[in-house]
Amino acid sequence: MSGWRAGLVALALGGLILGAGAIVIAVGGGDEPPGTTATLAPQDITLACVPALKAVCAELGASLGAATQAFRPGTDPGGDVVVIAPQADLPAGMSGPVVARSPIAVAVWRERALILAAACGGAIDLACLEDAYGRQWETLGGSAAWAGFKLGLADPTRSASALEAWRAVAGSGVPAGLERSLRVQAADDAALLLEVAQFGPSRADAVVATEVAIAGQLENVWDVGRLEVYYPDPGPWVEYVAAAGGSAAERLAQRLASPEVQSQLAAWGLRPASGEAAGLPPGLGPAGQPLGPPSEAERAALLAAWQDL
Amino acid sequence: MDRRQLNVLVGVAAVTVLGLIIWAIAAATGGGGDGSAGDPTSTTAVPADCVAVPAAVSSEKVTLLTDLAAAFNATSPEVDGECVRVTIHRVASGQAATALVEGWSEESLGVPAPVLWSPAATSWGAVVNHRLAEAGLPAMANDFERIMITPLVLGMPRPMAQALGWPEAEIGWADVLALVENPEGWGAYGHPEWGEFKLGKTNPNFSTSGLSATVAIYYAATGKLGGLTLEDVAAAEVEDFVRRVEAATVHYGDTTMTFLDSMLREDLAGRPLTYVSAVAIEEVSIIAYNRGDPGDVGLENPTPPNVPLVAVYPKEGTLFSDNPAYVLDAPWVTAVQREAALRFRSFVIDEPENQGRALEFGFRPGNPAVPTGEPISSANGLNPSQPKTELELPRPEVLAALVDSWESHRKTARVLLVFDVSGSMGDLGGQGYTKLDLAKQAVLASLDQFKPEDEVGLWIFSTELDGDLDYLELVPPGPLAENREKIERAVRGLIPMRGTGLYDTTRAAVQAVRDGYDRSKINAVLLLSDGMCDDYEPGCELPPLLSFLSSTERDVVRVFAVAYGADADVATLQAITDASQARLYKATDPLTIERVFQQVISNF
Repeated sequence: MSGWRAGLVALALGGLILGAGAIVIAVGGGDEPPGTTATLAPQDITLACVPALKAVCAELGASLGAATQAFRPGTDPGGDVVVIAPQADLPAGMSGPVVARSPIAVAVWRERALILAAACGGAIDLACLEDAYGRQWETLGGSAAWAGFKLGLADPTRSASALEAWRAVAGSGVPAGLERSLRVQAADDAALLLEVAQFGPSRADAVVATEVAIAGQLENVWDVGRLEVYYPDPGPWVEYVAAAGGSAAERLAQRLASPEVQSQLAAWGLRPASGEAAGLPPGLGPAGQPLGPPSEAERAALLAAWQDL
Repeated sequence: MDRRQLNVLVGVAAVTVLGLIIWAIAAATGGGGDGSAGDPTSTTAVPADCVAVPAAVSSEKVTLLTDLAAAFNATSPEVDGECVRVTIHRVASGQAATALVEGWSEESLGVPAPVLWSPAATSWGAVVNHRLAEAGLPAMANDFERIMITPLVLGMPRPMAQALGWPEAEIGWADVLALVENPEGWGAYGHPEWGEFKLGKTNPNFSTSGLSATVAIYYAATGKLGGLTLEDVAAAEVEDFVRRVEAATVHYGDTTMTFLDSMLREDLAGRPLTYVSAVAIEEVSIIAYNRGDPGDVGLENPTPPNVPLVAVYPKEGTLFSDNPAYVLDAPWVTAVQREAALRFRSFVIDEPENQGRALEFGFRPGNPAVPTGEPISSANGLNPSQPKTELELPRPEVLAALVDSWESHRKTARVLLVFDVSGSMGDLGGQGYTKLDLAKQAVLASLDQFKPEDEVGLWIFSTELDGDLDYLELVPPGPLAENREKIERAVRGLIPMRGTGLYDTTRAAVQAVRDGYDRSKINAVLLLSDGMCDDYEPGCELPPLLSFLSSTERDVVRVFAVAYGADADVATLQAITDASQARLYKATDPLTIERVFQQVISNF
């Protein structure tokens, strides 16, 4: 390939999201017992969250009087750190207890959800999506101007949550016609939802992503209405662990697991480590039963299927 | 950037300009975003005790970001106790991409190395990262958020769009093609007085919107929304579709301003529907045009057009320009500067009021929490619920093939090069070369931009070159494949002599092209002149020439002029290009002539 042609090749990468990073919150390492609401004195503890938890981190940081800074998944955060992320996204050697969960959900722009639901006999589920893959909206009862059905997915090779979304879509085999509907626009679920909110249904009619990422854009309404959320049952869930990198961080991790913090999670579109969520934002509802984590063989098969698309 | 630098950037020893890619050419010419060519502009003075945070931005958002930077700086921002100030600098997307890859030179660009970079589209960040990776260097354009977005549309004069059923009807490239090929032209829609359908579309080698429009046309030919393949691009029916649509193009060009300026001028002259029927532009440009300030440069007293443009969102789908703001991972960026840039970006994107400013300029907000509203409304000929579907940027190798294919199937040109060889062309132009030497180099280099089928001829002019005639035909127009050697030989042999018989030469050249007018081709004169008409009276009476140039609305021969050197008669050349519905290019500094020539030839 010649140099100029290589340049053009690069140009075509324009749709790629190149990793905006996640949020890091620096909080104090005070001695308050778990569950207290006292603001901690800022010290050298860092709370790092995957992008979908950006808003959650911001709220936690605000309530704890902490500052924030960026964190990039897969890097070593160093120092006294609490990382909130799926275990698979953590740097080697870091682990911790589950502090929050989010089911994988399907979000469809309301205008198109109504048509799709009707085409599927009243309910939108994964089978309904499978019927739509590769088809023109006109054949589903929608407008010809909507052209073909478009599904938004994040790149499953780049984050654990995206892999779980891909698992929901292709866990039982890659559906026929998917390759004609698939739009991969983002490195992670938060970036995917941001793009869908920015560009509206012109970019994707539906997305499959974590509920918490969808929750972050639920209030952003196009003329086609808001995103309607549906849950596969059973379906994959993403579990977020709090991995502490030091003794002070350990105390913060414990605080995240406290009943008080756990009770706040639902307001941010995140579900507690155990039990039901109360007070989820409007539009979110009961999720399906969680599938267990994928085996290594299943994970490898999913990634292979992705590469073969 | 000279040719050598361009070659360094694209990584080839000998560039065949026929087939040059958008980013390389745009880098060389200052293109990138539409209308983005222009001198770098610094907007803010930084107090001595403050850390400067330079932002390099493409031209379409310089005014907006300058305002927002001023508002940000007015908050007296500090990072770690240090005063910081954001400064906004106009740098074309391709030019900035080149500089980031080659090593930013404040001396040559006149702009400090940026901490924040906002090109027209994320494509440019990918270009930079790809080129850095090829050089074994880490990616620089990683961390971005979108300031605002704007879709590519077909801008049409309202009556013409209405004749096609706008705003209710879904209109697309297929409808354009049908109208192009209808022998009745606009007569099929009850308006024979509008003549044939004429399309304005920029050159995809130079312009982001030109590339987007070309991609859209290829998709329209296939009926696909994504996944365009090499086989699609090479399919005979696709090539045929593209060739037939391109046949409607009046001419190409390096920026959409080429069209919008002419449209406004013709409109204000009482001829709103004669120049083009539709032009492929960004939605935001329609708002600027309808304000009477198509360049969105903040004219104090803009005159709005009599006939506004409206947006047709192609029913086959379209693409967006997404205006990212990168906080660069560059070695010159300090921690303080980075943090300041992040805060400024957040100020621009996260503050609803500031996103509202972007909306005022006609961009759709990058922050989805800020709903799209006025001026993106039906009152301005726009539809915020459009586009209904977005086209996918083709895979890299497909895009390369697509641009190559377009080169073959674009409208063929029939161009007469008319070259000033007056005595003043023997003056020094720079670096020890005469102006004529530099112009000769530029012409020879630019021949690569024509395709072999383009018909190119060569005239020179001075005074009394052929008896009383001030001009001399050196090479009659013919396919470049046959004429190239003759033209090269003739150009190399040129020497400066006598005066500047500009007017009668221009008239004769246009008449010669009119005499052989070929409606299947772009018929034009490319006129290069470095001085004022000094022929004997009445040879230098301008009004009769302008009257002659504008005497026909059909089969127009456009005169694209280059005002060369500091003594060129810019006003007269502007009048000549205006009268012939073309565009003036300025190469006041003779050392810029090669770059300017590339821009001129982008019209063909």
